[in-house]
Amino acid sequence: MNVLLIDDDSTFRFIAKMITEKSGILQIIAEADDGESGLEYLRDCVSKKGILPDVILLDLNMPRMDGWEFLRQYPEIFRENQRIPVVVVSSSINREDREKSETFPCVRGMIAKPLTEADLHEIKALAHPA
Amino acid sequence: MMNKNLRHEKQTFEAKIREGAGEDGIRSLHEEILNHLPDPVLRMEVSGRTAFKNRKAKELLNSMSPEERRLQLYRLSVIVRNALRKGGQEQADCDINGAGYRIKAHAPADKNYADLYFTEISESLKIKNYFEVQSAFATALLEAETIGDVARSVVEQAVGKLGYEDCAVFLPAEDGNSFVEYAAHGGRSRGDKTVNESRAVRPGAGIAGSALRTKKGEIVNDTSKDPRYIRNGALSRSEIAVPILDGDRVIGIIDSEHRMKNFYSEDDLSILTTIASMAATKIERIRTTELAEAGKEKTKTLIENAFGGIYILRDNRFEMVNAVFCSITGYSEKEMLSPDFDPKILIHSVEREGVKAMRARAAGDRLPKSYHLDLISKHSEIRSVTINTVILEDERGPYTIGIALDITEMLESERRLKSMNTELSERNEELRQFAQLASHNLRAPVSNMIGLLDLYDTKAEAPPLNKKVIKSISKAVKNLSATLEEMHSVLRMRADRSHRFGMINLPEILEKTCTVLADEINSSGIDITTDFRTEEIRYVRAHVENFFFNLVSNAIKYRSPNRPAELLISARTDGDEAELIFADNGIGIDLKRHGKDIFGMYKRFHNHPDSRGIGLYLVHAQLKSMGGSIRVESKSGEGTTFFLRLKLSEGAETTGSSKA
Repeated sequence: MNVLLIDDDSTFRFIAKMITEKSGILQIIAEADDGESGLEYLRDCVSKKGILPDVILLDLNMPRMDGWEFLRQYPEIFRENQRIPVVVVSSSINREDREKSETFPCVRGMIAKPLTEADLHEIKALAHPA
Repeated sequence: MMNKNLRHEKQTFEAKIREGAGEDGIRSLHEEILNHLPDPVLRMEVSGRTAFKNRKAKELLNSMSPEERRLQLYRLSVIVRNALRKGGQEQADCDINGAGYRIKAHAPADKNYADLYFTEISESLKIKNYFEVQSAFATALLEAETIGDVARSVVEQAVGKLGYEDCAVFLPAEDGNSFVEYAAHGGRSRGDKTVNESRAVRPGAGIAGSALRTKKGEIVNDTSKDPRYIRNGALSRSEIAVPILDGDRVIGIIDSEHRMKNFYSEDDLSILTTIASMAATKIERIRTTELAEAGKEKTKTLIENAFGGIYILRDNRFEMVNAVFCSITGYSEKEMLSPDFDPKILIHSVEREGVKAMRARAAGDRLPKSYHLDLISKHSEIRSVTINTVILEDERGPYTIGIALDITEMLESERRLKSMNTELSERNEELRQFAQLASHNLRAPVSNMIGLLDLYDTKAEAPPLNKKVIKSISKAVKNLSATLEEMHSVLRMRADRSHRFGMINLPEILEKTCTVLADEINSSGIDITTDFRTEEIRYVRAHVENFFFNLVSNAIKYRSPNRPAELLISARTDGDEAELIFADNGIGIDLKRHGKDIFGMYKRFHNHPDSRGIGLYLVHAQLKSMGGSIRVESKSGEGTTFFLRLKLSEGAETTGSSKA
């Protein structure tokens, strides 16, 4: 399962990469350090007919364009049936964030940092329920 | 009239001498004339021997008892001696057999005898006396300022003008039950002008006491025949007592005694009654004045010591200012009372309500007013005052009484308090934001550290020191993460004011807690028993979960190494309150040392590695936020019991009473 990871924290990106590689459950095919570059990558994929990720792991607090803004602009890129599921990964998850994320149909769930192997299984299940 | 007769007889007598009558003839003629006189005349030698008595004198002496006669002759001898000593003339008043006599003694030069001429004191003289006493008494009363002065006037008039031997005035004693002799005067045995306060009269005791009870004046002509008579000092034969009445109330008694029988007449009763009524009027007036003075004194003290400034304003001039008002304005009393002082110069600024009140006053509004204004003191200080004014009126017209309360300091401290409060709220908000920022921003690096440590291959070949270092870092990061978690929950609890009440099943909560703490419970081997007399309460679920989590993990953490760990959890309801009790047999807390700190944030009482000091703080804060409380009993080395009182929501319902 291919993953697009959008997070400004390079250490987290490194950890995520190591865990996925070690576990072999998920495969990070692309990384972006904010919403803007995440969108850019997806637009490129669409226009150049590249390989689209199966799930997007999205951080909320980021400079330039944060996760919320990404979620608002992201549907413009795809037709409805093409939308890629999103799982929010954040260091602080509160009720407001959870309630807010529920208003975006593409968001399938939320995972609190730090990321563990168990989380990877959950992400897989959330993105593509059996 | 008598004197005129006497003069006529004397002239006749002297004419006969001039005509050349013989010595004997003259004597017989003289004696004959004297015998015809209607009043007694007698010649007495200094030894007391009577050389001659005219017919009337013989009659008078013969009418007396031998004892009385001896007494009277002795008194007459005293008059003779006085006349001889004074060079010829002496006069004295005497009461004999119920009749009053004025005795004029005439002692010829170089002789050892005196002729005593008796004149019965006539009715007209008594009447003259009566008016004289009355007017003299009225004059004396004018000058009396105290009740004592009144009493003194009464006795002075009685002795001086009425010829009494003594007189006393009895006034109510402080105990209210008896009367104390306020003044006595000219007493025979006590000497002149003695004031004696030792004698008391009780209602009904003695003749004075009887007057007190009957409220009527009374003359006793012969005290020896009156069983009521109480001898006091010298023996008295007659007594008069007259009550001083204020309406129906006896406010004093005038009492006089005389050593002779039948001394007092109806005239005495009449004049003493008049004096008593004059005295009563005066005494009442003095009492009223004294009361008014005492009242004035009280008012004055009150005004001087009032915590507010007080002034009286009339015709736009200060008529009175108290010390406090002086200290508010900075002007002296003298300055403000000066006719040149314009009260308006005190006004610095007036609020709208004050202007309205002043205008209303000017337009004749007399209702009490209250308003604020700023005064400017003599030293140009601005003082904020609250003014309360009322308009009163006396014979000189309307005047204003004002009370000025200096609220400058109060306003200042209020202002300071407000600004401090604002500053404090700002600081608080800053602090809260900082805490939130810290807990939030620390979270990402901490979770990264945990992630990195997970990646670290502990099985790989590495120097033993490195392995030890990594282990220590791992432990430190876990602690840091837990601290952040707790900090976050504190902040969340503070922010979340919408505590939702719901029915909570206590066994269910315990089960959940045990699931979360399964590892700790298993490794510690703690035995948890329950005594839930109430299984369901209406409360905030998150709070109760926290109570159970914290207090169960506390009991595990602080178990004693010397015995199997036990925890008993009890629950019961009491009206609109529920009580949860967590009793363990752990190591206990030294409450003497830590009692006041136990529920503070980040207070730790053990060097236990898991202890971060937030749990009890949270429990306490959550209970308090809902109006509840927590109490702890503990003995070092024996165990700890926490008593949690939960204020259940209104209309709280509890069900179940079975033991779990």
